[in-house]
Amino acid sequence: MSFASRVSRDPLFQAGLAILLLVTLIALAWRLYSPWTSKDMVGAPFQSPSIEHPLGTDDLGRDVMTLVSEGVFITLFVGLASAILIATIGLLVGVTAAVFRGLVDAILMRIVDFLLSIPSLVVALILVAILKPSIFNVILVIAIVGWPASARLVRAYTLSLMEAPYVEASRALGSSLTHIALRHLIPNMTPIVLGSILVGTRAAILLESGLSFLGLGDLERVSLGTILFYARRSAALISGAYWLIVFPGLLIMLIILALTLITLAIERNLKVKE
Amino acid sequence: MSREFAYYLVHRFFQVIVIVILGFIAAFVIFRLLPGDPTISLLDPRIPPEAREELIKRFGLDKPIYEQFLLYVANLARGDFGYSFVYIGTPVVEVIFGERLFNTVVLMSSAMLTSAILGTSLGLLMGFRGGFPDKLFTSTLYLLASAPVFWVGLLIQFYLGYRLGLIPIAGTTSFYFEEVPLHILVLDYVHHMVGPLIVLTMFFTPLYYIYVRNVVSNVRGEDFVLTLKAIGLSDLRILLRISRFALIATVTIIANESALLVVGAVFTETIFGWNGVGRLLYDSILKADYPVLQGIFLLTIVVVATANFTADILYYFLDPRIKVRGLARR
Repeated sequence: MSFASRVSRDPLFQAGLAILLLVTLIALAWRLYSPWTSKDMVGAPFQSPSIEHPLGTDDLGRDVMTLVSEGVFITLFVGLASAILIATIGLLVGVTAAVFRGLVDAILMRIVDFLLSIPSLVVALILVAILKPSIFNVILVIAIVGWPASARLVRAYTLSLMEAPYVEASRALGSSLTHIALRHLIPNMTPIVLGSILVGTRAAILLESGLSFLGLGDLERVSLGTILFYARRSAALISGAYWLIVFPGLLIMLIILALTLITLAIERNLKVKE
Repeated sequence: MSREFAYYLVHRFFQVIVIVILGFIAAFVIFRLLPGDPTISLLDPRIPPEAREELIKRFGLDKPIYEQFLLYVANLARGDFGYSFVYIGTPVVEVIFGERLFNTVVLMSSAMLTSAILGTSLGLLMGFRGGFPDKLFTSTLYLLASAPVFWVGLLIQFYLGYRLGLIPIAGTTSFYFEEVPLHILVLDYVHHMVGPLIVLTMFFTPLYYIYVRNVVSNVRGEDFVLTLKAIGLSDLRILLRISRFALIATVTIIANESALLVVGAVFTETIFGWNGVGRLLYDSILKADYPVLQGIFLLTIVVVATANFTADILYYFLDPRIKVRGLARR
């Protein structure tokens, strides 16, 4: 059975996908149904959840359900965009290291080891502090701290591919290493790249939410983390407006849980020799 | 000391040195070459003009970049990490070390110790036992591992602090100016630590639990365990044998997370106003205090390197497979 069909039949994968679909469909439905945007002030501040405002209103009288349903998409977009960037860099570096071995491999892997050993949050915070807090820079920073894990995974997988009979045959015929990498290795990397993207999305969303929670994200494009940042800065806690804290965080947790389940399904169907 | 051990030590030490060198180069590159270089922050109105001249000369900012790098290394070697932009006239070393580092180390070591013991023992037990309790605990802890730490922090602060009034809402102490007896001061300090400690324990425990549980669960099916069972060893005896694998897993996680011992928990410290290095990191970002940021970064590198080296030495004694591999490589 192919990798894709093994993963898609895994109950963990199905559960994760169901949660993701549920969250995005509800958010999408509310955006189509509700007449408001996240910039509209639609009622009195700090209203508790009601039929009209299912998740209440915030300190400026904005509808929290509207904020959250836009936030879900910003969060998912930043997560996915960073993860694609992470997987691309990881693929290039990982394949290069595994194919050329020797000095190239040693240098690249020492850099990877180094970046993996320092806490990514510290590096991300310092980089975000130096760059301007735009959505593009947040994606860039997440990619900078995220690629080493992907590169290491790709390298291990490539090394196991290098032992495959067709690669050996190609080498015996005198193909160059670049030819082998482009012709035989990269086309066979689909599972690991898809896996890399999903694993990366989980880490990226956690990091993005964290940066936004600290007010270091793009304050124009309100993600779930940014809603929590504003909630904490406004008098939500002291006013007892629990809905401003509980629901955005719950959504982040559901998204992370879904991606964790999918990651687990991928990991157990993908046997990589370390 | 055997020859293999000496060889192993030197090999690992070399890797640690590489980490430190790369870290110092990275710090130099990040803080000098990227946009937002020190000359921009020197235009900061908080810094008087004569201090600016002095700083430019001192750090050789008018010199070519490789000379700047040499000067930078020389300054660091003398233990000179520069001066804070915010706490004007205070050396970076004084801003980080002292009270803040103390608060962070107390909080983080308590949290990491509690979680390591809780997570390892639960993981060992559940991984060994299997069945329904294992499923229940494992899924609960996966759920907990999915909750962002800052969200858990806000919830604990809201429900235990604002709603129930069981813990102080924020701060490290209630007595900033008054003179009070030591035992009251300590009790008050511990009381302030309850909230952050709960949050961090909820954050760290799943890490240990999930790793240890998976390792033990895999080991359980191995041939030597079946042999031990066949010989008629009691479950407790077998559990003790297996606990070695759990211990290796625990050491790995402690080594991986050790940097947090010093950098602290940025989110938790910020939410609870805990006066530690994590909050200093956040404040320094908001106030663009680059020398302090650089100091925290370099401190992190040194701690990471030391922790990795210590963990490698521990592995050597805990994991017999390493000896074999070390010999094979030679």
